[in-house]
Amino acid sequence: MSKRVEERVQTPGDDDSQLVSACQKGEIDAFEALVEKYQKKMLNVAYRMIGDYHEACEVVQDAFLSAYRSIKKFRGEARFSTWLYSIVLNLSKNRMKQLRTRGAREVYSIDARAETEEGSRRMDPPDPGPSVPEQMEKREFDARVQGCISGLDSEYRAVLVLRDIQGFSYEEIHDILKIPDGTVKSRLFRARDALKECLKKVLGGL
Amino acid sequence: MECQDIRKNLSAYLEGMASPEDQELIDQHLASCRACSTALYELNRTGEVLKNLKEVEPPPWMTKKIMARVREEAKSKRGFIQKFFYPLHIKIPLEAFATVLVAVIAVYVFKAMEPEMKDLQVSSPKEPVIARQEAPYPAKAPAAETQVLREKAVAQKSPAGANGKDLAVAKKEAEERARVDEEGGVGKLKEATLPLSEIKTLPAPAPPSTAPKKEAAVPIPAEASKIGESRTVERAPSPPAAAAIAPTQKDKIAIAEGAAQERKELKKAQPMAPSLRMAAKSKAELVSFLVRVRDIRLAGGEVESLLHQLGASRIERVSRASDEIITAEVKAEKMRELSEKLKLLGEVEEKDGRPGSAEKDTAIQIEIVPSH
Repeated sequence: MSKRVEERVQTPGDDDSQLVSACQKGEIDAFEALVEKYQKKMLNVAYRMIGDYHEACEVVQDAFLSAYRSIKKFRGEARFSTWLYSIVLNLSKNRMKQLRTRGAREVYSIDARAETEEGSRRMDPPDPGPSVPEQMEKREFDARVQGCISGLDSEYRAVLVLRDIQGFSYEEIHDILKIPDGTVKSRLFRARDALKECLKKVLGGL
Repeated sequence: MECQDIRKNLSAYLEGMASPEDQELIDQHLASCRACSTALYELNRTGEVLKNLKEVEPPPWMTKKIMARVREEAKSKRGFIQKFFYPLHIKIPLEAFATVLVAVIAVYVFKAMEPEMKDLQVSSPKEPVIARQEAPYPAKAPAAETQVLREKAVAQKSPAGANGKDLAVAKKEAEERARVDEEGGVGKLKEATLPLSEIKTLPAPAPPSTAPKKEAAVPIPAEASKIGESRTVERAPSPPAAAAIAPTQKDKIAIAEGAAQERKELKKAQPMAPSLRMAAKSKAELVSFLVRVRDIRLAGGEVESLLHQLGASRIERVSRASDEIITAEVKAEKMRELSEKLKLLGEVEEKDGRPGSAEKDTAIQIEIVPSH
């Protein structure tokens, strides 16, 4: 693994390296270019993690500001984008914890679900009704899917969001989350299974 | 392979990540197991659903808001660095103006304090010297001294005002002196002391303002007396009244010598403590009253007319917002009457100074202030 890290340092292959070094010299315009480039993907990661658009916007702003503050410490060991996503994911997780302690959000967790599967149905999904997914309005459909994503534990959710929604490679996910590839895969497969079960219930079939 | 094992590996199978053996086993199982095939389909569908989720767009203000916060951060950071590395950074023009203002105020304060400081420096070591300087006046032969002073008084006027009025005053005085001389020795003495008081009181009304002014002002009488003397010597025989008191030629030489010596002494004394000399003189001769009344303007007018009634001379009235100051010269015998009359106007406080001897005029200063 350390071998691979060394290889990456030698061949960064980061198309942001010029902008990043300009930022490190204090050029604010260069940072603006990076904001323009990554804000959408950052927002989508945050939104899928948190499930609330406005909270996601806040988190993205904080993430960029935090990135600006510590950009001088960025050594190019990983790609800049990877570094940026790790920041937004961490901030998203923190925000979710805050929201959960406030009780502002109903929490669905894989473990909780396992415990209550035959029980009181604590994670009651929205009533699917008679309609099939194709007939459902897109927005409503997406909202139900998001409800299921939000029900996953944050570790599973992060992997699912990065891989199945944002399309990152396993290597990138490994870099972002700093977890071994095997762990990434096992989490991902468990997350998919859990989501599949949730979607079947929420959408009334797949 | 059981269905449970198959389903655990379906995700890897879908991604083509299962080992070739596993892949073959799963293929065989799926062909025969309908439930697992459905599970595979559902898993595939889940992946599709996630891929087809609509992306959210960032709000249009997002970049601006982020950059505003970033710039604020950068500014405060730079501000800190600037403060750290340029502690003497001057903000023009505010700080420059403040610096100039402080400098100007400092100069003003110093200038205002300077004369006082000079006096302070002078007063303590020079006091005995002044006492010695003052001493010769009474010690000198009264006739010679008074004569000198009298001539000086005349001289002071003649060159200063070349106009007829001053000359007339001088003549009048000379005539009066001549008349009194006839009355006798005592009269002469009395007459002689009169100009003395004049000389001494002359500088007194002038407020002791700044030291340089006094220094400039004081030498004039000395200079004037020099000119005056020579004129008196020339003129001495011509006016009949002056002739009556004109001293002999011998006396004149003595007088001239005395005057010269006195000038020397004056010159010596003046640079040392001019203001102190003034203060000492005015203190000795000036009687001042503090009158507390309801209406200071009205009282001022009454005092003025009272002074006229008492035959006071050199009446000067200065009206200010908070008080009225009237200076005059009153015959000593009228002093008691003046004091009595003032008491009728309001509460009277007689301040420092002592009334002059019965024979001569006394300079008075009446300060009228509103009563509380």
